[in-house]
Amino acid sequence: MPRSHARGGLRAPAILGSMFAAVLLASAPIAAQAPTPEPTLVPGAGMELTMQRCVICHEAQHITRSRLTRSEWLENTELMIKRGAPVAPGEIAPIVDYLFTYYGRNDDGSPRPRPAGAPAASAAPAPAATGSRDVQTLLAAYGCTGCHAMDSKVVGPSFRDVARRFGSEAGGAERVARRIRDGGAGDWGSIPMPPHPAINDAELRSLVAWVFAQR
Amino acid sequence: MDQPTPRATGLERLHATRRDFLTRIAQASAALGGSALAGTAAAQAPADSAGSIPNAVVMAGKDSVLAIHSERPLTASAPAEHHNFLVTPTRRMFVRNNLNTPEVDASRHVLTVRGLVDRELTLTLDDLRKMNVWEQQAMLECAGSGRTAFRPTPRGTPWSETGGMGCPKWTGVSLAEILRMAGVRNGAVHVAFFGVDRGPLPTIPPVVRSIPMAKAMERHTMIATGMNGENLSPVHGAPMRSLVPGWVGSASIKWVTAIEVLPAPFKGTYMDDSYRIPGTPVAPGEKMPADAVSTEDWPVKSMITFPGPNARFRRGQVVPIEGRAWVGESSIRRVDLSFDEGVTWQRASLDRRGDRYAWRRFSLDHYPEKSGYQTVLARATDDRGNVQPFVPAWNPLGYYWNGVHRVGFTVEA
Ligand code: HEC
Ligand code: HEC
Repeated sequence: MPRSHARGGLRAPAILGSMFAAVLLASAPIAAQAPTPEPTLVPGAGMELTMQRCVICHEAQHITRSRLTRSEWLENTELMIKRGAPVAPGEIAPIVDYLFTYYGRNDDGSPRPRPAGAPAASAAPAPAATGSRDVQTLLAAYGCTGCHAMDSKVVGPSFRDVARRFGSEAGGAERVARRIRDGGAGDWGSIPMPPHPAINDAELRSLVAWVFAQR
Repeated sequence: MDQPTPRATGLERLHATRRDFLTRIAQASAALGGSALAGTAAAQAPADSAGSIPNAVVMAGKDSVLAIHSERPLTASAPAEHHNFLVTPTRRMFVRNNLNTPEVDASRHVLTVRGLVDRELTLTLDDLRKMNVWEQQAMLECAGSGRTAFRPTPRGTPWSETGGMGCPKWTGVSLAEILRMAGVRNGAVHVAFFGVDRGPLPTIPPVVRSIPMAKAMERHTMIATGMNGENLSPVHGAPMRSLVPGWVGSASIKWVTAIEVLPAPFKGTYMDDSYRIPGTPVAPGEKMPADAVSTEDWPVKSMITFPGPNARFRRGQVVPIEGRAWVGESSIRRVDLSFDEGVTWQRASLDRRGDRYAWRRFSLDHYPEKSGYQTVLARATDDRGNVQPFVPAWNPLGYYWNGVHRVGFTVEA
């Protein structure tokens, strides 16, 4: 019978070790107490949307350690919605496509090979990149409000806290814009902000300006 | 005994705050033209993640031998060889959250008793301390403890083969005393516990599980306020939690804020989607069948706490085998050890039975006849004649792993 002591025995020190390393090595002043960023999902069509909707209550490992058939991923996604995942009906199909493509197994239980070097294109129902849409529409379309509220921390920091912290800092607008587009963790905690590569520069500028106006 | 008077204390204030928060979210969503969250958010429980305790703070109170199985929700445990003590120290007790670790203000926390009762109660920590507080040593084990030993490995927290359990001392008040004070009405079938812990989104349902009336009235089922002689620590449910000893850990709800007496089992995702097993066995890999039932008491189980895996001994040296055995609702009759992969078995000596739901220590001095790598297997039998299997019945969510535990060691020539 396979025994699994070793796996349990090694992880904690490793995790704590890297946490301390991150604490010691962090050089940027605001990242001084930055925990280790969590791992993300593999890049591929639908990755951003899946990160946005699925890596909120639990880390990405809940997904990365699973290999499910298409119908199992569909069932799983429906269960997550029942548990409170903010997934709109039209988003179920692209999420299940992504999950089955990158974390799938065949009906006979054999693992599915992953497409090699898949482009990080987004299958999110992203708004057309016209640059002229108003901020409220953008926030709703990108699902930002699933994780951010005006005054209180939800998954990510409140918009007001972001404005207070970076609003008057030199280079603040650029760094916040980068965070919105590229995602990442460490400024506010260990939970990652998902990347939003489909947002164009004009949209980014108006989002950042709007966030900074919330002081 | 003091009859606590119902009072409008912390809970109502808390609810008021949450309502405001919800209203704000609802307004924000509406203003935003309806995000994916709109509609659902306002209807359900609020997120209170502002008052969450970071994992690093929780883990600072734990020994480094605890492996973290997931960060969000936080789960951690130490394998069998780190359990060679009679009472589990708080620093070694496993961690299993469903949501965030909440920071609860003990002076404002209240426990509401409601539902099919003659009198609704609102109890503070001080009220509980004026009741019959007593102490017992009792097992608590996550339903999924040992999950990764199943083949194929079911989804869910990857608990290692041993360790998702512990046997500390608990201080508290029998739930029966509280229920008698409230007066249970006719038609009561289940008792549900509600935790205050919340996840990062307002749409996340709170953690609620219910247990049958008979177990609720059994005197060992308690509302615990202390562990190992100290107040509960935040991650173990401060300031109060339910303790349903011998049953799967999820029956014991941390940070309990309400007890509801119900005419039927509670309906909710932690009852209907999790913590269920097939009524009759299914083939490994199959889906949950229609006859699924809720997990309740743990089947008979044991683990070897000494030696740890791959220990080395000298030829002629005694190998003092030691371990712990436990079972949910019966008692341990015997523990047998095998040094030849289960062909022959030797009876280990079993310490006297302590508290009703505490594990029992077993031991045997083994004098190896040969040198080289060898193994020891432990197998417990309960008073109902149930024996630990080599391979427990596979089930889709990976609960109740109680396979025979096996440890390898080397005797140097
Ligand atoms: C509202 C909170 C929430 C969101 C958002 C969410 N989940 Fe979950 N998920 C849960 C809970 C609760 C569990 C049960 C975990 C446990 O038992 O600790 C879970 C468990 C899982 C598991 C399996 C169990 C495991 O631990 O291996 C998978 C796979 C999973 N989620 C995938 C997803 C996917 C895919 C999405 C996006 C569609 C998603 N989750 C979004 C709450 C959520
Ligand atoms: C899945 C949840 C989630 C979604 C969806 C999300 N965010 Fe975030 N966001 C976070 C988290 C978590 C952080 C904190 C990251 C960190 O600690 O550095 C964050 C950080 C930020 C910050 C602070 C940036 C900084 O430099 O620290 C801004 C601004 C922000 N998000 C805006 C947005 C906008 C705009 C959207 C929609 C386009 C969005 N977020 C969508 C979770 C989310």
